[in-house]
Amino acid sequence: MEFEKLFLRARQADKEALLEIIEMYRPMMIKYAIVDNKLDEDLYQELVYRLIVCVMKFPYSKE
Amino acid sequence: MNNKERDLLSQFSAYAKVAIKHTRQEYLEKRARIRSCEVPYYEDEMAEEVDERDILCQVEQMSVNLEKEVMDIRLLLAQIDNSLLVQTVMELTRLQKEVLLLRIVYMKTYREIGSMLGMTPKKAENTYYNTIRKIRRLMGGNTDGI
Repeated sequence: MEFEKLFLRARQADKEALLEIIEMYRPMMIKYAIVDNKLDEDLYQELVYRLIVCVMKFPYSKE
Repeated sequence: MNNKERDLLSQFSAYAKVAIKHTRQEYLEKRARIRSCEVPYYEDEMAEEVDERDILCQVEQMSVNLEKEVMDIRLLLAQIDNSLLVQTVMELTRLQKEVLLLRIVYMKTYREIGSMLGMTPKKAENTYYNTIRKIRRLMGGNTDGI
């Protein structure tokens, strides 16, 4: 699916689209959630939450 | 994927990456701050030793206090001839007995009683007069006197 459509759907709080975006960025979040060679699950949760906030707040408008 | 799509994807990825990095940094700083405030927990054995000593000291102190209390109450009761009065005094609460003892036997002022028992002088005075009133009532008298 085109990213723009997916992104716009996610911005409308579409659960499936949000999950797909989270899935896309999962490797990056896992990379940043590793502390002392161990996955910090609390930090991972924080990062997922931050990603959702990013989707909602990213300055983008369909022209 | 056209150019516009690619731009959006790369811009959003960069945006999300910066936000995620900041979140990680904040999280680690917060965790470090919490850990620096935590009190280290010592070995069980050491803690137990301290506890035992503390408990022994407390028990010793309690027995000394109890002994003193019993002696004081005996002192108070020894001054009373009337058996009904003895019985009445025994029915009073510990605080009432203490105030009565300090006022009558040790002739302390209300200010002194208050500071000894951790209350205001007025409270000590009220407790004393309430106690007297209670004794009178229990002995079958009225508030004006026996």
